[in-house]
Amino acid sequence: MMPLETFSLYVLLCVLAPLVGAFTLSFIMIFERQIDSLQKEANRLKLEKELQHANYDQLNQQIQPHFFFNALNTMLSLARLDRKDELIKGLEVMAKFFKFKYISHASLIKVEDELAYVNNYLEIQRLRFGDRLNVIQTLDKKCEVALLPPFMIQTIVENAFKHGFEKNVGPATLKIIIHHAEDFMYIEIWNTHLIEPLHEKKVNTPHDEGYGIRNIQKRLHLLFPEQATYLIMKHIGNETLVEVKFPLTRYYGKERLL
Amino acid sequence: MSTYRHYITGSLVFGVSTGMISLLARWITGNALLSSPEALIKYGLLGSIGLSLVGALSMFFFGFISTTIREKFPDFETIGDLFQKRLNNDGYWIMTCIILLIGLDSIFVQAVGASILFDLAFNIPFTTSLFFFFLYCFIVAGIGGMKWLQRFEGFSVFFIFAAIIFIPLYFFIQEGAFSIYDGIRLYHPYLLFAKNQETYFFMITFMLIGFGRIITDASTWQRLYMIEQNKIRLTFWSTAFVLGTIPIALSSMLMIVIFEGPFHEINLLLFQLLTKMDPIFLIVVFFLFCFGTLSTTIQADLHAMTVHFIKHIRLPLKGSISDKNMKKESYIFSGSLLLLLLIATHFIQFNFIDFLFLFGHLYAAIIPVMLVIILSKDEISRLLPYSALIGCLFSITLFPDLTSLQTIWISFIISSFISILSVLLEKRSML
Repeated sequence: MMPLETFSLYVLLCVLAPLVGAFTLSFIMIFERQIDSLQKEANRLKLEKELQHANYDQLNQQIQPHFFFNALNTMLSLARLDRKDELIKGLEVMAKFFKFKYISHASLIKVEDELAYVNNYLEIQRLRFGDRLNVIQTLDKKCEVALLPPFMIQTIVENAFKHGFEKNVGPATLKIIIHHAEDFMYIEIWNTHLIEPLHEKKVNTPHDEGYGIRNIQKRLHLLFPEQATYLIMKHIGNETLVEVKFPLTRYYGKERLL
Repeated sequence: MSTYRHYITGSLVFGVSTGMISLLARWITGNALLSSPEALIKYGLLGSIGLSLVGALSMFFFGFISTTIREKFPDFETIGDLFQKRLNNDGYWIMTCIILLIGLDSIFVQAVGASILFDLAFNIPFTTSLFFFFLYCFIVAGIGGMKWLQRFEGFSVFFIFAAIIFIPLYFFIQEGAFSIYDGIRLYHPYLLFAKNQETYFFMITFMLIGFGRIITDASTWQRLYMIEQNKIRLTFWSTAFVLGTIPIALSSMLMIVIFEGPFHEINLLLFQLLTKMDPIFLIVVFFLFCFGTLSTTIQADLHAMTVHFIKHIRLPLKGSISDKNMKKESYIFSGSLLLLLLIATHFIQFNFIDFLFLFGHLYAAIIPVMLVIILSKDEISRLLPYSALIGCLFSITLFPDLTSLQTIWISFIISSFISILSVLLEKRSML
């Protein structure tokens, strides 16, 4: 037979059960609209994020032919100059470069990986420029595993070659300085020749000058929409400085942050 | 001039909470008031808990297939639309008539419950009070359609919860759990025994019946098509959860009635609370609880049966009827049905749980048929709808020595066997 204690528990259950039922119903009645609007907001954000992904991926895709044509032109120049060994070496480096580039589709990559790209590219350019080219790289230890949008440094470096070193004779010194301060990462790329500053209102097409630079600006805006970022180009003395500032994002094993 | 579709759906779209209220108003029925005393007396406190669980679980299981139904058949309005699309001519008529019969059974039980309530509550012949009650139901559901029906569901659910929270709380505080325990131990000690194998069998069988009732309930199907698509499953599951809390509270109300002595008529037990309570507030709340429970279920059933009859029996027979005439015929049908019920309640006396078990054979037999109709992707065999009839009739007539609980399972097994056979035969004929 059921003892009094069990019976009391049963009575407790009988009294509490409808309270729980009424509470559940009231809770859903009161908060359904709020939950609905939160759901809608979450969906809107998700859609926005998807759109950002799509935009970002599109921009990433646009940068690839841009570099490809530049690199191809370099190889063409080597072929025209009949520098066969250098051409082979260049093609090897380029193959490595593109292999990595087409395997990786991350929104952000580590600085050290980006620098590996850039060094491959510089290897190609060194074939062309020989002793004329002098590269100086300074990298803050903490920035090695920080993250940045892929092809960012490479695009600026590429720009320095295309609009600086290739158009001017004489020594070509390229300085790449990466440092951080107050949760922001700064990338400075100096070259010893003057490059025409960007005109902000200029309409972009892949053939436009400075297209790659604007691509970086857009990507930074998409990646860090609510944080201060900038990409500026200025002349200091006879040198051109391109400086990029964006939030310092450390690598913790996740590839994509978007 | 609104269309007949407006009469069916009221142009309403339910969210989770409104869907829950509508389903609760439909599923907290006179059956709970009438059969829970018998369940308590026959199967003890465990039986009462079981009754809570099985109702909730049946609704929960229906929640599983509800999304599938809506996704597979997105443009329907009623259960009859499913038969129209999936079944051949004779199959359509068999299933349509079964649904009508089931609906009539449900509405009849509510009507009897209402007659008992009004007989106890008022010192006037219950014919008069029942007439006014049916008139109210006719105006709300028969004339007003889904739109008016939905307006009263919220009040009903409010009074249901008010009663099942306040009444047990008041009595258990006033009397104390010990006095009630003592009284039950003295007068009804059998309620306190839990080791009753039949209880478990009752629970499982009742779940089968419950699922059969939900899956064939025309008003639930109407609501299924009125709930926002992405909220269907959540609505059914939340309703199942809340529904589970109600019979258990009713069982505590029953204990309040019986702890002071023996009882005479088991069906009247819960309604006797009316005579047992002193505070007028609680009497009013309890009356409104019974009134709300019975009225919203009758209204939902009346509306669903009217729509079912006009759209799926009258319309196919006549060929075409204008929206205006369909509505006019709906008023006539619902009015006539209520009038017949008013007369029937004067003459028919029966035992509720036995009546439930009798129809339980049909509910159990129809489950496999409905599942095949809903879930099968192939053509439906002509044999399939007959399996419900065969299972039900064979189980009732061929096994007189077995108990109702056993024959319900036999009904289910026979019907399942024939349903599977019909599916296999259809597959073979297609090869």
